Amino acid sequence: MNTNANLKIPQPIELSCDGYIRVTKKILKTISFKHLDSGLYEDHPKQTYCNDRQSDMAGYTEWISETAPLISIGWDWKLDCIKQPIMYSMTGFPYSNLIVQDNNFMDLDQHESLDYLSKIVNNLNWQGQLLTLITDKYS
Amino acid sequence: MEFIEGATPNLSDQVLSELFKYRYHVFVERLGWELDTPFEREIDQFDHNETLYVIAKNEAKNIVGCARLLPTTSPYLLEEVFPELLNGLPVPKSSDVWELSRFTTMDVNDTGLVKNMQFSTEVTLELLKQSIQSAQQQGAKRIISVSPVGIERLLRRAGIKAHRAGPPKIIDGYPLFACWIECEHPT
Repeated sequence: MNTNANLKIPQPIELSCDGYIRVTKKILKTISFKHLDSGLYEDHPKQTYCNDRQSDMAGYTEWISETAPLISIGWDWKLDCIKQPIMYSMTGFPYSNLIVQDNNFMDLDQHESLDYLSKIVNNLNWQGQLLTLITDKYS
Repeated sequence: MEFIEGATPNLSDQVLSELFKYRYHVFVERLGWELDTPFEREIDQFDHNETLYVIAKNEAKNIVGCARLLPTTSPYLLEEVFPELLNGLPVPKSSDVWELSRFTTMDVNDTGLVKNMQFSTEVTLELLKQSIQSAQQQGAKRIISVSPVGIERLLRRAGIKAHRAGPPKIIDGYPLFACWIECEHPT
């Protein structure tokens, strides 16, 4: 009897013909991401200074995996100086070419997948990098 | 708001002239794209008889938005200029996939603080829906587009299913990416 018949063998990261990359939660946790680009949205109504810091800002940030093919995650952020300490926070769900799968290789629905990606983003510790990047780009 | 839709042979010379002049103002003068634009008209090899245009005009009959739709069965912008945006996938060549390009809703008569935005929210959603409908009428089930990253916010806000085909690339200082847009239910 083949006792391995029901075992799922992890596959390398592959592109589906619909452009999505599908990876399991387990694999996703092992993938590191690096910064690609960040910027301000020009249409945000307030770009002002508060306590010598630019505040009420909103923009985007883009990160990519160090895999082939590339996984792309981008999200919108805002900086609200009313809260202390002043901090960047993600607004809405991220955008990506990734569909997260459960550990049985089944696609999560889009909402669940994006929700899980949000958690991955929150673990990237991106806020500190963004402060430097935005300051360097616009000062 | 008035929308004009048609392929090149169905549009008057005046409308086409206004369109290419508007595109020159937007993409060359305002956004600074480095394009070959003799006679202050923005027109390229993808503006031909098969090209479908959707044009938005305001009450003063000025163009305030435009979109260009190309069948992927003929050469198109992503295929010829930006294939690397597909993250390694072959470019689509199918009668049910159309390309959206030169999409803008910039009001070139607006002198406000955000005058150089490629999209103005009021017109954008309507033009997007009109463009999707036009593509659908040609048999499109999906649209592929080379877009700035900000378009995803607008698509999500409009409830239009879309996702990126690959990571953005910085081109002329702006992050551009290939975006898949589903043609279902453009309400």
